[in-house]
Amino acid sequence: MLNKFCHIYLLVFILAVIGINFVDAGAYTSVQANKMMAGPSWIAPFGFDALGRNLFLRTLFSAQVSLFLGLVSAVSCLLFGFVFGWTISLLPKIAQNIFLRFLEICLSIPSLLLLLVVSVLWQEKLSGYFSFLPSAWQNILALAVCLSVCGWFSFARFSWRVLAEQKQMPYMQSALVIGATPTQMWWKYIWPNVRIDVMVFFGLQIPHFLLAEGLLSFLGFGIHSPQSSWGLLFFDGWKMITVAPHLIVGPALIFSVTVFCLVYSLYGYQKTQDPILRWQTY
Amino acid sequence: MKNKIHGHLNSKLITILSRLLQLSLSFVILFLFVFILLRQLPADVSQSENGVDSVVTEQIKNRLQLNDQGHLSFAHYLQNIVSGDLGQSYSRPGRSVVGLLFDGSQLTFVMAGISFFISVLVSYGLIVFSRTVMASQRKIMDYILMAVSSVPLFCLAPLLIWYVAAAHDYFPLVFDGTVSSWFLPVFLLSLKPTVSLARHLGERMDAEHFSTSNQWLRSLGFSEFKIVGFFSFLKASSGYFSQMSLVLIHLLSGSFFIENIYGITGLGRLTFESVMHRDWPLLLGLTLWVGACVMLVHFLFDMVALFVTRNKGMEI
Repeated sequence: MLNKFCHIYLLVFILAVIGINFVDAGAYTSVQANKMMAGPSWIAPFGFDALGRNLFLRTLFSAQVSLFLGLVSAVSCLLFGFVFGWTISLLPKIAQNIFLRFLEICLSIPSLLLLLVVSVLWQEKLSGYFSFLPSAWQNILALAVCLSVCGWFSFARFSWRVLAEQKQMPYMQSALVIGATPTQMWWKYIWPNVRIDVMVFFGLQIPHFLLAEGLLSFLGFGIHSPQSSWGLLFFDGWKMITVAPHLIVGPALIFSVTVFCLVYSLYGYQKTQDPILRWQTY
Repeated sequence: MKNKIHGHLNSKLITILSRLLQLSLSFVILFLFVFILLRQLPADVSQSENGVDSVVTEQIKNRLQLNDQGHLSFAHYLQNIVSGDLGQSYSRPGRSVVGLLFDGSQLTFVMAGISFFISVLVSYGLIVFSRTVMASQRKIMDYILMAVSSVPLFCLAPLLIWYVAAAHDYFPLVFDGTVSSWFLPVFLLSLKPTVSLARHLGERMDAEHFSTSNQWLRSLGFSEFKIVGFFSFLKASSGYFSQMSLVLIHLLSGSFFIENIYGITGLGRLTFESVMHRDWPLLLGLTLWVGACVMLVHFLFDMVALFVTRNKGMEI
């Protein structure tokens, strides 16, 4: 039941986020002095912000940027982290230990601190590298790179762990005995066994990056106006919390429900696809 | 039996020594990591001082010995760390980074420590309660935990503060050190770690729930409360300890956010201010200090887990 709700919510949400491009942009970008900080109504379920813009439509519009950031960062972490983890799983034990210590150190620095350091040091420089793009996208892509730089460690460590576990399995010895080539071992034996775990971990990275972007923008180091993201909406809402608390309630609700549905759907997917978990469920 | 116990102690000693070796190696890599941040990246501190006179940037380079060859510069950097010199703060003239870190650490560590103990106790209580008293509805507890873990702290904190403001006609954003002003920051800080620990412990205990040893204990007449609260917990404790050390990182990250909301002068506030004022020595000192503390805590938890958890070698 809950699983169905999550799937339906995510489907409707994605359609709404795409559909916002077909709505008149004036409703959520233009300033309307007579509606400043007006409360929720049927036209605007989350009310109007400090500049009189429809907050519900603005939340959906901001979701485009936040989801794009989450997705791009997760994909780059998947590519780099998985390749790194896979490579170190093939190295001799001593080399593996050195790389693992390096990953442990990176993971031992609180992610927010690392993200602050990297974004403050690099964001401006990185925006310059994307100067061939429209100015709105330069900052977004620079932030995506910062998020990826701070987030690939956990993916690399996870990939190393699942691959190292598979290498210890008895079926790997059997595959060697029957003369399987390295390519065959990888595609026929290892990949089918790690596929579900890797895909679920990849999916879980998206809410993780959504949270990271939100927190960074909330502290004033992420996306800046006139662009918009969920974190920026929270930041604006926080500044006005004593006067108009509805400015933060609506976006917080959408954000929390989206993250919950995403996480729950992924666990549901893992339970139905993973042979061991499926067996345990029954 | 005597030989087995000796063998067991020897293996523990070897584990401790190898873990100590790993820790020292990790410290060296951490120093190297921060040194690379300081020197090699596009964010070379002297280049990043936009609009600053070239004489000043040259002074910064000389002070940090960035003009030297890499290995000499790193040796100088290590020497400074060993002698407890992380330089002077840019934003607070006359204050050393070490002094600022020491002052900031006190409040952060006290708050993180209190939140940590609350998280451990509450998570244990929640899981034992959900697996014994309300065992038939334990899924509900799991859903609640998952839902709470989905709500980010930066959404929850403003909403709670607003709720308290509306309900009690007082805006709880003043931290004056009194007991009542500690309540909301500590609650917010301990919420996520509690959920994380509870979910982890719940998963581990569920895996043990119908194990052969637990079935034996049930047949011997042990109460479900004792089986879940003691025997299953002992078996799940090794993973629980590693999760505890991971939770400490979340606590530090959370404290950075909470301290900024409440204006508490801890490490989080220092981080925020050092970023705002581009105070590079302080920022890199913070990275080094927090990273080193977390690694030390990981090591201590590993040692506790080594001695507390049951070892099959001792079952003679």
